[in-house]
Amino acid sequence: MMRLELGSFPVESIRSGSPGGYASGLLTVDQEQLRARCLEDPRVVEAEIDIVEPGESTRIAHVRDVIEPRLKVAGAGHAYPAICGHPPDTVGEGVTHQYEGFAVLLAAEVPERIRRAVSAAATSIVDMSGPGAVTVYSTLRYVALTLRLEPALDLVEWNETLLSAAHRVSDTLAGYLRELEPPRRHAYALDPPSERLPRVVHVHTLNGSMVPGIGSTIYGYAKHALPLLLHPNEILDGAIAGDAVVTYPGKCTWVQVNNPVLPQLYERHGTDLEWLGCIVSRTRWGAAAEKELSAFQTVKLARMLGADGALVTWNHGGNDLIEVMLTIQGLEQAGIKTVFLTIESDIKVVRLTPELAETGSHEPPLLFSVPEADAIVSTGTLAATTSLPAMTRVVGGDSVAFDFERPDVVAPTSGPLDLEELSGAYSPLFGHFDNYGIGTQSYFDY
Amino acid sequence: MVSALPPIALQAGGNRVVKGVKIEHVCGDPSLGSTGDAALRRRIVERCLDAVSAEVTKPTLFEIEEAEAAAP
Amino acid sequence: MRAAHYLNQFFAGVGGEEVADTPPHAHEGAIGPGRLLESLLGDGSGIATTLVCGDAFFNERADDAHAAVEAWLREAHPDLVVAGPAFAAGRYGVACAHVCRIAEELGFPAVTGFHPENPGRLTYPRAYAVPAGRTAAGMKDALGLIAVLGSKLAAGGELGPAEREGYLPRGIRRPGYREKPGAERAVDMLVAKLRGEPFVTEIPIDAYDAVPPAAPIADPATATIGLVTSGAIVPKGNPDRFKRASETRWSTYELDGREALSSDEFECVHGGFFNLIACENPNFVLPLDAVRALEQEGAIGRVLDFYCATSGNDQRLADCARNGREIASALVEAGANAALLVAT
Repeated sequence: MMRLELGSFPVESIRSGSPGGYASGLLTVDQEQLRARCLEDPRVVEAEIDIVEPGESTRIAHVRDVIEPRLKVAGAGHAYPAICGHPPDTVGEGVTHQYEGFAVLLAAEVPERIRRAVSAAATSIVDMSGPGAVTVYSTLRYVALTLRLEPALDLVEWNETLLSAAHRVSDTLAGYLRELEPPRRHAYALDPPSERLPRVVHVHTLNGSMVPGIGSTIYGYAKHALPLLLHPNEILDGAIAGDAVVTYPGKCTWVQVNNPVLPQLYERHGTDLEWLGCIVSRTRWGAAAEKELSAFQTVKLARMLGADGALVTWNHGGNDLIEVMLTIQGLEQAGIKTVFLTIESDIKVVRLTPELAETGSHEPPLLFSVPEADAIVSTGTLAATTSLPAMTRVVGGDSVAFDFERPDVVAPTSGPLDLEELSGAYSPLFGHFDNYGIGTQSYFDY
Repeated sequence: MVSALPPIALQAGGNRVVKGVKIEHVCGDPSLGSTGDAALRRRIVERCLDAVSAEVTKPTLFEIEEAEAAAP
Repeated sequence: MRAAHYLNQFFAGVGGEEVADTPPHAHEGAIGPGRLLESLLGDGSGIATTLVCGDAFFNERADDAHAAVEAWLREAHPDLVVAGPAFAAGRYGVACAHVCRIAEELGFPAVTGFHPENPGRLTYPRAYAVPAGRTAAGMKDALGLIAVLGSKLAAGGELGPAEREGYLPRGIRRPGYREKPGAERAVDMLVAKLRGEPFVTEIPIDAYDAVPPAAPIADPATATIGLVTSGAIVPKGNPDRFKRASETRWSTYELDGREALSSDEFECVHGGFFNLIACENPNFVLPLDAVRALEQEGAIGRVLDFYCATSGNDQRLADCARNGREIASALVEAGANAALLVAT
């Protein structure tokens, strides 16, 4: 059941032109056509379409989400199901075409009233070159949409309008791939192994928004809910999507479909382990009893599936770690061997000065832990080691304000930017947390 | 201290930890109505007085009794 | 290479607990396990001098013991100092830790050996210590590791991470790169764990420091209570401009005899949770209404007429610790004997 073939189309260069289309690694983008797609919704007042490539002296500001255009060419449903008007059919089978090394980047400045409602609606930046180009987002080619919306939209509508515009553009670009032969294909299926292998679940915990109506979605569902089971192919087809409000890196749509844990588990399925599936649990419940309930139910699902082992990940920080650790504790106590893949303490993200770089007893790498968490892989943090230099080109907005308590204190996006001076920012470098272990950066004890 | 997340408070070394309700409303519960909420808040503070008067040797959790929490 | 070796009374062969008060005295050459260590250090290396001191003396007459170690090392001018190994012995471990500290302060590389639970690790966390078993049954293994690590230290240059060089973590974490991406390492580690094969965790779990509890107050009816919150309840308008995350400061705000906090005058600026409810009724985070009622009834002696606040979201531990000390001082100075701290 549930066999998915992914056809990959690498983008090696991108240029402006009409008609838009893809051929032999070159993506041609009709900027006027895409601008018109954004403006189809009258709530979008202004739309700028920019082409951005890695290596440029470009800084992108006010990043809200990054979306990889994907298209189902065979099999039920629509890529990124149940959001932005897409049907809710279960995905994960058939054939899906994707771009590689390319994404739609959504940028929009957060209006004052939305910042008041959601402190974490931050100004995040991506530098395409220089000391700030430390994340995977500095390596992608983009069609960047800078949108300005009608002023009176409430938080939920603001989020929905932005995401819908971005998905209209993404769907248009994905459409170029419909009739094409992919240069590369890969089939994903959880065929039963021929011998008894250790059975593994991927416990894919997802932050839930404490602010109602926004946050990452599972088939469009954002609210905190008890855990559910997803087939990894559903995730590859976009069943988990981000929101446009909180730019915490683990919530971006791109990293959900490009989660490196998925191909890694697939790689070992049938030879070293039997992968049973993904248990997706929400984190950041407000009450201790709710956190416990979510953890207990996650453990129960793992036991019912017959898991021998579990790979646990999370995509946030702070009090989310409590239910994650309670889950690890419960799994181990149930005899399910657990590995935890995690970032380290939030505190080191702004600028990695030597004082901050050398931590230990002064700054615990994890806010909270349980004795059962004895097998941990650390992806450290990604930070610029120096101030960010001036950049020639700016996309997304001409000024940035990192301290919400002083909205009058702005800096020109073109920089230079001393991130620590401007701190009070929440996630200033977009993607500074490599939640799922794309890179080799880590921390070592000395 | 009052905390809605006792595991963190206790692990950080808080010796007298009173269990709060929820992060968003640690000392009370808006869903109980103003009388019920005020009574719960009072009970939480009373528990704090119990805690500072108690001899402890290590991180200790002080909870509000179920019946008291629900009573108007 | 000329090494200097530190031993306690037991390993030096002087005797057991009955002679733990042996004063420090130096011997030429190696004694006891020092002979095995010497052979492991290899050609051209030897133990020039051994300092022997009783564990009780070292711990009870610390100043004299430290002075003796310093004088011994200044005289010997060794290329390497080896202390112990102390295995799980607590007082010996503490002594070895001090020997390493004094050696390093004088500019001599030093190495010791501890069971991971030896309290000597807390005495001087920066000491280079090889992992050792609980008892002297592990002497040969420990000395082998000491010889290798010691030679590296004596040769100078940067040592690699603890897991690569084989020493116990010293409380310093630094960023670095591993061979494979995190996702691959995670699946590898899981496969190894499921097979019962060895693996090395990348974040060893460390406990927070324990805080000795304050003595209980005799009677709340006679006590003075100070109110504190990390939930960022501030006067409306946030006059001190507390940040919603990564704030380093704390502040005091007057209560002026108020019976409760109202949303007209106060707000919550904590960025780590949905703070609308706390803004609508700040008493949810700073329960002034309940505290005042109890004060009026006589259940609480007195409440300080100010409260202390910070914005406890994404704060650095060092800032939290300093703020805590300063807030405690402020409360004590104002006559408080108990504090009510609400965290969010």
